[in-house]
Amino acid sequence: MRHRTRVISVVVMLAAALALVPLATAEEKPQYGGVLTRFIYADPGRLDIHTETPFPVQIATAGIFSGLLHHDPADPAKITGDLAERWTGSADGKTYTFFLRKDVKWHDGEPFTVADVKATLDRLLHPDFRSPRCGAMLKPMVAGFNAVDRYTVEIRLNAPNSNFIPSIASAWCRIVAKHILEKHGDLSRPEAQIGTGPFRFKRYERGSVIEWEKNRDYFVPGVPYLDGVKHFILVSGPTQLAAAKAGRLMLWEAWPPLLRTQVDELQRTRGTEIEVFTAPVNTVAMVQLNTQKPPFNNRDLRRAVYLGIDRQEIITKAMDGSAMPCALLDPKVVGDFALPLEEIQKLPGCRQPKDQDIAEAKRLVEKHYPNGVDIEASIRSVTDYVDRAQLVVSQLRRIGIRATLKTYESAAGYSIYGKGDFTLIATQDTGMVTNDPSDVFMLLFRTGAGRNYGKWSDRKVDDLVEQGIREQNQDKRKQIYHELQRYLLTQDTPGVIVGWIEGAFFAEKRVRNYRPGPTVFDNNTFMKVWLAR
Amino acid sequence: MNVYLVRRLLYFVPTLFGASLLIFALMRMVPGDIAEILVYQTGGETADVQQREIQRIRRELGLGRPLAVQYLDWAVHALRGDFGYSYTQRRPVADILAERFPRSMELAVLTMCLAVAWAVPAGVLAALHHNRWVDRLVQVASLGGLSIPLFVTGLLILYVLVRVFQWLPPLEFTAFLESPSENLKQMIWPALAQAYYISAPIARLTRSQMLDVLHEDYVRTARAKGLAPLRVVFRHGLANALLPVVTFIAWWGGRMLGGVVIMESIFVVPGIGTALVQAVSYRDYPTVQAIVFVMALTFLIINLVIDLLYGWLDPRIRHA
Amino acid sequence: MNLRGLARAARRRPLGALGGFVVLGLVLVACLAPQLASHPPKDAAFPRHVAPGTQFRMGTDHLGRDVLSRVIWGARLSLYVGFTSVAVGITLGLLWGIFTAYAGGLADGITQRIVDVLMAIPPIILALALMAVLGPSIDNVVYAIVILLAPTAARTIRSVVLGIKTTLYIEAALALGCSHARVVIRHVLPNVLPMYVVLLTVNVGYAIMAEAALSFLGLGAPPDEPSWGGMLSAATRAIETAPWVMLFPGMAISLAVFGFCLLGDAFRDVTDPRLRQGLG
Repeated sequence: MRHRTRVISVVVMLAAALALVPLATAEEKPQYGGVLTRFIYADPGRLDIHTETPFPVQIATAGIFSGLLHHDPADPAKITGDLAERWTGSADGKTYTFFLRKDVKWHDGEPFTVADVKATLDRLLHPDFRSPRCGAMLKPMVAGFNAVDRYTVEIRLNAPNSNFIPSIASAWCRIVAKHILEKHGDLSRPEAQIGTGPFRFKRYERGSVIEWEKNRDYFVPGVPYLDGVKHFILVSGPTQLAAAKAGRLMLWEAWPPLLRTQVDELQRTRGTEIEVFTAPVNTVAMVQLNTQKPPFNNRDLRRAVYLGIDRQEIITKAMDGSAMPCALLDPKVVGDFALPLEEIQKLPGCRQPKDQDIAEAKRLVEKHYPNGVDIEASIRSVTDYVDRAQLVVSQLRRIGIRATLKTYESAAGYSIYGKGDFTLIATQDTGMVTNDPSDVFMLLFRTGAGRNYGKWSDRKVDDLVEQGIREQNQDKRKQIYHELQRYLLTQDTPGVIVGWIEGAFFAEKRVRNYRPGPTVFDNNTFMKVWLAR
Repeated sequence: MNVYLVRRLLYFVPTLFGASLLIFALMRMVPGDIAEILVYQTGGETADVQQREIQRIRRELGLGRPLAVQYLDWAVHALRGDFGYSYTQRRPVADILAERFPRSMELAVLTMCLAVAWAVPAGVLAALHHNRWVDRLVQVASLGGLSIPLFVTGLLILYVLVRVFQWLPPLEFTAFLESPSENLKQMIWPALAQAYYISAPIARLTRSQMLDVLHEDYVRTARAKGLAPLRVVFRHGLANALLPVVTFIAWWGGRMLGGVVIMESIFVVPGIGTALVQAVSYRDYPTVQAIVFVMALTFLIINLVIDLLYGWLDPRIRHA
Repeated sequence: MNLRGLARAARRRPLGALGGFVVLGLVLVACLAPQLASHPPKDAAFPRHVAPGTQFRMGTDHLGRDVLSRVIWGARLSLYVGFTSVAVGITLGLLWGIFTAYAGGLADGITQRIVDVLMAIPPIILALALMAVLGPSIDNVVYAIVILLAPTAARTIRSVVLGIKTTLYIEAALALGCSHARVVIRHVLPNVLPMYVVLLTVNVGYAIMAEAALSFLGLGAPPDEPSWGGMLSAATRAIETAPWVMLFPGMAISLAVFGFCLLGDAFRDVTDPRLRQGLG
């Protein structure tokens, strides 16, 4: 019995991917050779895919490692076997068996066996091991695992969980080598980047460039087509654009998305050579309220902010128009788990024009603070955020909340948020790790969730989230998520979802067979990408 | 002279101690530490797990110990040349220093060479033609360098290269010894921008020093006798005249060794400036302490050399 | 200094006069900002990236704010930061320098080490750390620049005072029984004043540039404040499609620094006794 991901989201993702990205026609034969050039927006520093969380780390090591499962590079909506040639699940949904490939070698020639899977899982699931991406997803799910034989591993769950397979297929849950872990202790250093993936880690010049080279012994025959991939490390925005305009970048498919002005400039310089496409980046922008302190420990004030914020204005003016407003789930990503947009756009908070909602918001504020209330609006000093924050401040003024902007350094701002030293976060983006509908609720709305900075807690939401994870039946699952969304859109909420971010990106026309994955982390191994002459 | 030298060298100790202590204190005063930053960045873990993690990271890095202990521990190790491990890069800080400093040094040397090549002759010329149009031109031109912000010049250079020449400097760093041409193709541009900026004060200083010398009695006498003033100056006083210029150049060169962050990020030069700013951002205390220590030491050494040079070359001071 | 004297001085130093005009113009713009600017600088009420034209003489920025109004109000911010930080910083340096040079001995030694420490730490890190501790605000930028300026000023003043200290005037005055305070006020101060004035004028340009650089890095004034440096920072994302957002604040900074430097040069030329004698 093979498991597949939900049919609807498959169709939607397929449609989206096919519609948005240049396709190689069926007749075109892939050509071998060439080095793909792209950039990473920050220096990764440490390269341990299990312990690190920043996106640059994942980009830097993506092509080096393989997972038990992955999103098929030719068809990213589908989860297929990577190191596991097939897998089965028990009827009660609590036990999964993975049958490993027998012909795989690590980049240093050592054979891949179940011992490596065991070492990886031992590491990730160890209670003292810090793995905020993969480990945090798997630890609550997994009860135990064991190696059945040299090429078979069995993983047992605490309870059936629809997010298990997507998590195992996640780009963060890569299998690493036992002998490398023993030799180096951790995977932070370039020397420890020994994987089973389509590319070898060639070199890391800190602050400058990361290079991969083709793995000629890759276990999938005939790939990769590329000779290598070169990632420039470009921190400065103008330099990124200049590199694109000067033809140094063949692909710009990851953070940060291109601005409209940048797209215009690019098309003017390289219009004939490139193809611009938009793709959802599975990241949500949210205004967060601290529910432990006044004024937002008061439900009415939370509702007032929810009604008063003009999401569309923020998106048009400060987010380049590239976001889908209001929704808690993005239909482009999760299919019809998301409430239909027409329904959401009629609800208070989202509906335009906003006169009614603003009036109601003012009334709610005046009820408790007849003379208005003064608060501090916190923001991390990232270019985009600062613009959005200024709009949020002026919108709050309309409903009687006088906010002064307080900026924090980009990195240190997180510790302020984590400690709860804020009243209102004017905007913070959170990227989803899988494309399962449970992600956004697990990250932002559940009691004790890591990005639930405002420490909001609602029993009903927790129950619904829990049910949604456990439910195996797809239709019943959809009902649960619809109920959850309606509750959060009409009742209480710890903040305001401004929108799901989409980005403009580009690929040179000669880059073939690239398709964006369901999340930004997926499908950046470039395993099946090729360059046309 | 030796007493002076020894005294100056002894002064290094309290100064370095003070500088490292000040930076230590400032870094501890800024909100947030590496543990909090690492943990609160993601959303993956639940709040209680996060708290546990923060405590664990702090224990691992010794951040829970009393501040005095932390500082003394660092200082004792630093004096032995052990700068510890970077919190963010998990490798010895000394490696980071050894890797990054030479690039910033190269950029600084390149900058100063370019700046001096233009600014000193310009200043001399301006002084020789005092109050005439050449003088005014040099003053205005050099002011242009000073008044346009460095980051604007850098961005404009980048923009012009791409727009007009459809060309970009190399985005990968190649060491000078590996391939001088590739290296210079990248480094020449930030060097030009910085040189433009720094040539202004050099030209102005050269000019005013030359003006002083030109008014010296011996020059006026020579002029009265009909000799070309430049010839006279060259033979008699150029060294003294240009001494303040040399010290200024050395001083600025020393400052620039610290790397100019904006130039490094725009032109993708992985230098010490970016390393320092990133380290501050992430509260990577060992890296910040080490870089500031080394830069302070360099600054003190350069100043000492300058003062010694002054004392040696200027007989008036030597006998003071 | 009557008007005729001023005119004569201007003719003799045309560049300095130019600088003076520019500075005067900027001061006027800064003072009259509320009257001159047609729109509130933080009002994001208009369409974004409108090119300069009849309605918006300098166009609008990426949030739809009038660039001209922001540049005008930016003059107020830059001059406020420039003047305040320099006034406080250089005066601090003056008092410090006089004290340490006059006192001599251990006090001098200690304060000299403090100056060394502050100067040995690279200025960017000092500014970064200070702003991180204090938090972003216009007044905190002033404090940070004060801490950057004061040590160098103190050292310069100190060397001038040391030079004066050994002159006969001082020795004679002390021998005659004048109190230290009197000596400082009547003999030291007047001789230090020219250098003080030069330091004031020369450093305003530097202070304005420092504020622009800090704001450009996101460490200076809060982002919605109309700071020229902050405007430049936001403008880098649309250099080609909306060059006016970068051009006008950039020109404003350049003009301000230009003017102050020329003025400072003229002051320095005037106070240098040797040059005052003019050419032979």
